[in-house]
Amino acid sequence: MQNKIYDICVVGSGAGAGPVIYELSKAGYQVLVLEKGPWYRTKDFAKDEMVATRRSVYTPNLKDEPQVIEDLNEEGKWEAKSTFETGRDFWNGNCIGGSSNFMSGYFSRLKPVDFKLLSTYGPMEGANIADWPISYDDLEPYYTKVEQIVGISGKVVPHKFLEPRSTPDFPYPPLQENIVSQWIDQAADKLNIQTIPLPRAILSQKKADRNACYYSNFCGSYGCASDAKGSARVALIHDALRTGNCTIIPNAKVFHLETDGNYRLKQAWYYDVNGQEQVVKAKIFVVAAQAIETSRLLLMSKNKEFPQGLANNHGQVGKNLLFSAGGVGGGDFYYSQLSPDIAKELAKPGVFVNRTIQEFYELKNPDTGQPMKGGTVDFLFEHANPVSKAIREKWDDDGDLRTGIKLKKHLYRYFTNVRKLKFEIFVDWLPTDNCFVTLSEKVKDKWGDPVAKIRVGYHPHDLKVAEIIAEKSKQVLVEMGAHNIYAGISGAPPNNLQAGGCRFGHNPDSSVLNAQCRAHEVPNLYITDGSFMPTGGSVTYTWTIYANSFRVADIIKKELNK
Amino acid sequence: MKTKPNRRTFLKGLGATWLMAQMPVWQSCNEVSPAPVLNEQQLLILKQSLHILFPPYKQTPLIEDLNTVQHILFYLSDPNIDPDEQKFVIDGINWLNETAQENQQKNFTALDKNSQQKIISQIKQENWGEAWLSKLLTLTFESLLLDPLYHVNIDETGWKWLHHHPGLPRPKHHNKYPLILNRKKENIIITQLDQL
Repeated sequence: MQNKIYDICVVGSGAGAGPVIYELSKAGYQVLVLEKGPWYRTKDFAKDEMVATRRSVYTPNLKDEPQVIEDLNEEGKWEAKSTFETGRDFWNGNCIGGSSNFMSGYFSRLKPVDFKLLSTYGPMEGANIADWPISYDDLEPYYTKVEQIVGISGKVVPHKFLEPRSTPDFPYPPLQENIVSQWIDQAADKLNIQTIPLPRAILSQKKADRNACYYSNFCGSYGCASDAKGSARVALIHDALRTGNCTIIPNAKVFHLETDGNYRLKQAWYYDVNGQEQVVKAKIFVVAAQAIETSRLLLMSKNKEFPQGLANNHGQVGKNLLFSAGGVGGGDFYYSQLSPDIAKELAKPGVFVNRTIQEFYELKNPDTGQPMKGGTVDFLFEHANPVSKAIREKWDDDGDLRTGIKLKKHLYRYFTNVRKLKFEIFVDWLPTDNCFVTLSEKVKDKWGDPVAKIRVGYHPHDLKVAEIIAEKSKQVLVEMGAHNIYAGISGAPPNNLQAGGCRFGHNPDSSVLNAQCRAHEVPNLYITDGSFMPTGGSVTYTWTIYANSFRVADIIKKELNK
Repeated sequence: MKTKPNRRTFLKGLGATWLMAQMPVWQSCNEVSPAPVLNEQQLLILKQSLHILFPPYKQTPLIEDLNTVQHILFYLSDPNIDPDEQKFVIDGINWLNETAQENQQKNFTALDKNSQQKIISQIKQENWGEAWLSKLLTLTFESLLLDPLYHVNIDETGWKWLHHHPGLPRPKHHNKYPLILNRKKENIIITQLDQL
């Protein structure tokens, strides 16, 4: 293997890597995939909360692989803490297929305006907003490709911010819905708010050897037992392996990308499962290790040509890291206040809510009266994870720990009489100078390498937008007759929605990648996870990451064809 | 709301190292019978604390129905868990007893139920005490609601009580914790789908 020169070496195997692996293998190129996590097969995926959330199975043990998070303390100073100390980390699914195995699959396209945020709404003090070097039209064919190949179910409904489409509807019909979806529609309609069906990367019908969703009631955080969920593993990598052109090495942690003295990559170094250093050669390298770890790998790959890290002679790697801003809210419905038949319908497990509101995608700025970018609201039920549900109820409204008979009575009421409807708000996490990845000077992982240090500052405008949308969303729940309605908006970044760090653009002084997602400074290095995004839009990222990876795959095919 | 301490706060600067000398040697996790990580007195303090946190009440599950103590012993002997987290559970048992000795001049196990309840209420006001009780509750909830495959929630007692319906497929021996972690040790190169 050390002597073989692969056409392409891909670091990572999640949503950013899958389309490249799939397309290049199918085109007849020799593809090598290095994945730091193991290979979990579909038969490994049970609905087992112990494995899914209670222990470090799909994510690394924080003692072995900590990160450092730098946050503002109470005195307003940046304070760095190891995730081993806090238990709070940015790891997601570390395995073949990456976190796409464990996503909920809420899929929305970006809107045309998301590609030109700066030119549409203008600059904002303290934010490094930039237009994308490509337009929505450039990505549209690939959004459609994802619908068809990965498999997206849903129904297209005309609305104010419906993005232009080259096909009339989704290839798979919507998934089954709970009665609460009708209640949301009715309540929103009274408020003159349009709700639309939320597309999902979950098959509602069989697709080749992938079975349709069987409504297990345990979707997000869990691997799919029917392969209905459109993970990179089952939707793309399985087909890549069928070509005979794809080689995957699991449990292979890449720690250095080495150049040839002429600014081109020649080989990747990795630790194998036994901790031994190994090296592989390729003509082209693609890094898609999720945004934080992608920046970390480049920063670790220092040499004479790149003393600040690979592709970082302009000092841009790790800058302008993005998360998804917003927050969550919700309200309670009591079965005891409903007729037995209706209560039974509401309690029905498995079927989805699948409602979203996108008409807040542009708002009026209350301070200036001018239009400003808004966001999206997705409705969903509280996750059915029982241990996690119980843990959330440990403290009462006064912050006191519930114990004894009081605790038992509360748990019983909560589990048997309440269904919690939640909403999640997604707004742009504006890029700032206070959100970036560097290498920790002190903390190292189990291999002795410096871990990622992540500063997680946010722009106050993010909260302002989310607060406006939260108030509107709460009104829907009020109209529905929900109890205990709440919303929580904060600048705390969600761990599973990462982008930026190696943004693409035309200017090497302000971007790492060119419009083709190829490094300005390294002609045979492409980055295809969410790192490329200069701004993140106001929806979840995965569909866009998949689509862009398909786009870059076409670019790489042309490059290899030369 | 009280500040929720981070998970390692109480392990630093709070000694009790003498207590470690009372502990038997740590042994690796055995899925059939857990290693003896607590001495008899510690075990009794743990059981009596759990009875106060999650007491018998009408037809609700008892910690014995859930095998809660055994579950905690498995947790304490699991080599994949942060040893400091495990030590905190044991330290908390000892600190509870120290509190009883300081306030009642008796071991916790020698107190009547009301006095034990008072001591528990007292430590709840301390940051370490609240964190320790919270940890015990988390482990109790696991024993209440995880799959009976883990030798907890015996006969689905917890699920039946809270009307919980598990998702399918349920875990089996090959994909349960910690055996599933063996995937992280596989030394393989995959070139065909058939290899799966």
